[in-house]
Amino acid sequence: MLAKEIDIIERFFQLDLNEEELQSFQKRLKDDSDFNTKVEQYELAKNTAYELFLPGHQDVLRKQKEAMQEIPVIVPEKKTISLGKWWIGLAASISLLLAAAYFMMPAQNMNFAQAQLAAQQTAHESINLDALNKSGTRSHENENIHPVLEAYQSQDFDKVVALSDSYVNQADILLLRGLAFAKNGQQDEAIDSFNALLSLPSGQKDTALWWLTTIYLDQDNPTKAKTYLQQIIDGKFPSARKATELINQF
Amino acid sequence: MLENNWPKIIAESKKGNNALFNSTVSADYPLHFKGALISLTGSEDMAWEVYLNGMTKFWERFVLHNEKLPEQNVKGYIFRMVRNNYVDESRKLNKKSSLKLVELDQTKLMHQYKNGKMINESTPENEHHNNQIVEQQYLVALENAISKLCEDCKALIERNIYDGERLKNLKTELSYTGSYQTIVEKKKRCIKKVTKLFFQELSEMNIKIS
Repeated sequence: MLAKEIDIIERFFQLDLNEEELQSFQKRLKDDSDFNTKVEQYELAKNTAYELFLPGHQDVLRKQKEAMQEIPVIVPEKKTISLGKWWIGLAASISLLLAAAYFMMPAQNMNFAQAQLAAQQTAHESINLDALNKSGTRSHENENIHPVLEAYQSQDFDKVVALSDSYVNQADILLLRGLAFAKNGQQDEAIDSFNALLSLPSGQKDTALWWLTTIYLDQDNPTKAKTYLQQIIDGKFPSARKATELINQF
Repeated sequence: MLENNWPKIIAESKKGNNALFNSTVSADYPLHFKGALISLTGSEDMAWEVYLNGMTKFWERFVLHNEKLPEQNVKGYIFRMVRNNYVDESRKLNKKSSLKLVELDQTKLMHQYKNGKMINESTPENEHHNNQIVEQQYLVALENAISKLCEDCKALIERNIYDGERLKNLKTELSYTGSYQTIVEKKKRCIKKVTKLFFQELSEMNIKIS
């Protein structure tokens, strides 16, 4: 076995692979059963080595994980600032305004984080795989979606991309393609797929719009995210109310 | 956005004060990771689980094993670790094992190693075990791997060292001239060596876990 191969398996268990290496590693795990066996053998060897040199090592890690779990997750809350005592004079007013500006900055950031989370949850909820499956069964033209859907459901996102290459004019398949890119962290490609979907007649436009919102929020681009939220509102989609609530938060 | 003072957090944790580490993990989750991980995993519970497992690995590497922390963008590095951990968790979930590691009772097997030999104790539990042959091969592979280790590594295994005090005693006992850190580094190298040797034995004997 090549030293390079051992190195890449070792780095996989160290959670140290970069995006490109990880994708190629995942692909190899799926396509090469010998490699898969080697990864499992390495995992056994590694666990054994730790148990030999650090008996109770797993217990120590388990205790640390439990300790982290015991501390409640700190959910950022909206902070309010009182600008009272306006009458104390111009100088004091300026100081207060500066102070308000200082404190309002983190408050806005926290709202942004909450909005980002809400958008992502809605984006996930908007995926209706049953509807995609039914559309493939109802229409002869859409039957190509089944293998793509199957690959998506088994989280084989590279396969989704490969299978969908020839069907980039079918909205439902474009949705799965965009989702696969998004879940692989290929945001630019996901944006292209979702935008291509928006140019076609489709019942999946709201899902694409929510995912575009999510991606732009992730890229710290609320201005662009707002344009997609506005399209959800203007399109009077069922989730328009959620979009209205969100658009006012940042 | 400001980065946390990770070198300070790690240094405190190494002294046994994990409170700052734990509260940072908790505070950072909703701000930087929760949304992205829900997008990745599709579930709030799974996102939290994957994050905690990734952070446990982070703690293991940089607190427990004294690895060098990246100098820049630790937040990005943590995200990468957590995302990679998701891939590893998915791999384990998708693994259709006919024989699981727990069935081998690996920890118990480890404790059968004494004085440079694997003691193959035939317990009533073992006798009822369907995987005795695999266990036997596993023990042989492990014994072969250990026999190829240097004497220092063998001595470190035999002392079953874990806590600092015992490590210090061992430093005197084995006449290590370097600092305390030297023996820690030595132990890390021994872990790496035995992992590689044992892995090669498993590969050569074609012992399959699934």
